[in-house]
Amino acid sequence: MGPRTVRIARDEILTPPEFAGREGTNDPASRIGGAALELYRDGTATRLGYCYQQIPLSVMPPFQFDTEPAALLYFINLTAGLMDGDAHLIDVVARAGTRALVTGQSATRVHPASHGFATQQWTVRVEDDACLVVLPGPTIPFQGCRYFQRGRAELASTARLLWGDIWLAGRYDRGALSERFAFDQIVQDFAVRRGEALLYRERFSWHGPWRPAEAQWYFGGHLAAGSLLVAGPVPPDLPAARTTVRRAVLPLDTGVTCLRWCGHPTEVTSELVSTALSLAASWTCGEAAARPWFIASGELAPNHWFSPGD
Amino acid sequence: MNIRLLQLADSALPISGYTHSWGLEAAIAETRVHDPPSLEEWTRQWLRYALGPLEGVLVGAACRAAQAGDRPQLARLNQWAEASLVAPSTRRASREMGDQLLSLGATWAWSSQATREFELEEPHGWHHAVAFGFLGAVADAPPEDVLTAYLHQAALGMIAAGVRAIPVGHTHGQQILAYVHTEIDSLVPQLLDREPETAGAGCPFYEVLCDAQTQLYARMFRS
Repeated sequence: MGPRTVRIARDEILTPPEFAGREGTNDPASRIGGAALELYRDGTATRLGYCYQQIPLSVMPPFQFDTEPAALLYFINLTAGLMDGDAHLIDVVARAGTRALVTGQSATRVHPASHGFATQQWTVRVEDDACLVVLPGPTIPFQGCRYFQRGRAELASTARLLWGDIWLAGRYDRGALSERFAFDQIVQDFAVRRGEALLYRERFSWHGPWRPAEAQWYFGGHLAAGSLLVAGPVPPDLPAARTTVRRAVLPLDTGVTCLRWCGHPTEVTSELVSTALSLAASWTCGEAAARPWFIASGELAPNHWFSPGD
Repeated sequence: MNIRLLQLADSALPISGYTHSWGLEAAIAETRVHDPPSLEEWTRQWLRYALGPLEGVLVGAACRAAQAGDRPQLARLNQWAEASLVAPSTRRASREMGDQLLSLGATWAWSSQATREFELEEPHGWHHAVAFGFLGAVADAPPEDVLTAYLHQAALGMIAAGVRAIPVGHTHGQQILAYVHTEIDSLVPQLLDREPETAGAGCPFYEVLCDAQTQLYARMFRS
């Protein structure tokens, strides 16, 4: 795929079977947007090649820091989150040898749906010797929201990918007004391939609102769950998770590893991000010298959603 | 009544099902499951949120694909199972049980020819749900019966693990199974109607428990 020359249109947006019939009932105020871009290697730097952006989604070009081995690229949603009918189509090509963290500027708030659904649909292609970290940011499903997240990643034979999703319970810390697991339905459809081989597949449909027993089953009574897909080596001495978080390291026989966390939102976010950026650093800088990408940098203000907590 | 399907779903089949608890052992260790009511609730949730949405959908789809002679679709369904079952313990359990079921099927008069032809293309690595759906089609059973039988044998396997590990009396175990029939009856039409592409279950904490089971100090089960 080359540079995009036409606007992203609603008929490009895929509808999962669970939401069939809802695509035509979206709020007329809903917005279709997205981005299609290329990252390429220029010496030791990763730079932005072609780039198409369509509001409400906007691209902040890669930050380059002298002390960082990777570029940082932000997607910024100019609205207050995903409204009913909003759809973002995001296409990223990481050319050979690139190193980048692609992320959103904050948690994604998914607002209540009246008749339709909101969606983000990603396509990522990672070429040989590239290392791409995709952290869309935590998802906060509001009461009554319907959300479809789709991701497709195609990896070249020596490409490496880290993809992290964080699902939060909803709006909370508002006392009796807290919204916890009050969404209507969340559909996730994510697949990673290397050539013809299917490496990983996550497909689920969560029907809300969840009763306490369901929240126990899915999240173990916690308020957040994180999932990190690792297409690259995971050292056997991965640092232990903090004791207040439940973590599983789940190697697949397809050569990738999936990590799951359940715990407090701040802790799950911190664990997932530090694991992802530490692994990326170990792959690109060598394990001995590695400090995590970005979060250990003195050049990035500590006010990003993925900044380490106190 | 399809007598072949009865054999397929027999809990005494030597396909190593009795060596697995599918994460239940960790739930018991954490006292999340500790008596007959909690075992019943665990089994219902496992069927509804974990097994049914993934393996249940695959069973129905595999049965229909086998009836249509669609071998590529069977291979695709098996690939989805392999890439979707992320907990190594349950993934290996699924593969072992599938392969052993096909090995058995290759020795039964009613299924030997079809099973040998099936295994010629890919002799190993068949997941239980796909193998069960395939043999259910060979048994000439309708997909809804094959799916019902699959869910029933799975529920029985889970409850039997609980009977041994909690422990719970056999009478209680059979009572739980009878209670869970309502769950199976309501699940079958929901799962049969689903597109095969929707097969999948997102149960992060269940997967954490499956992983925790493998790290228990003393274990009765392999998953």
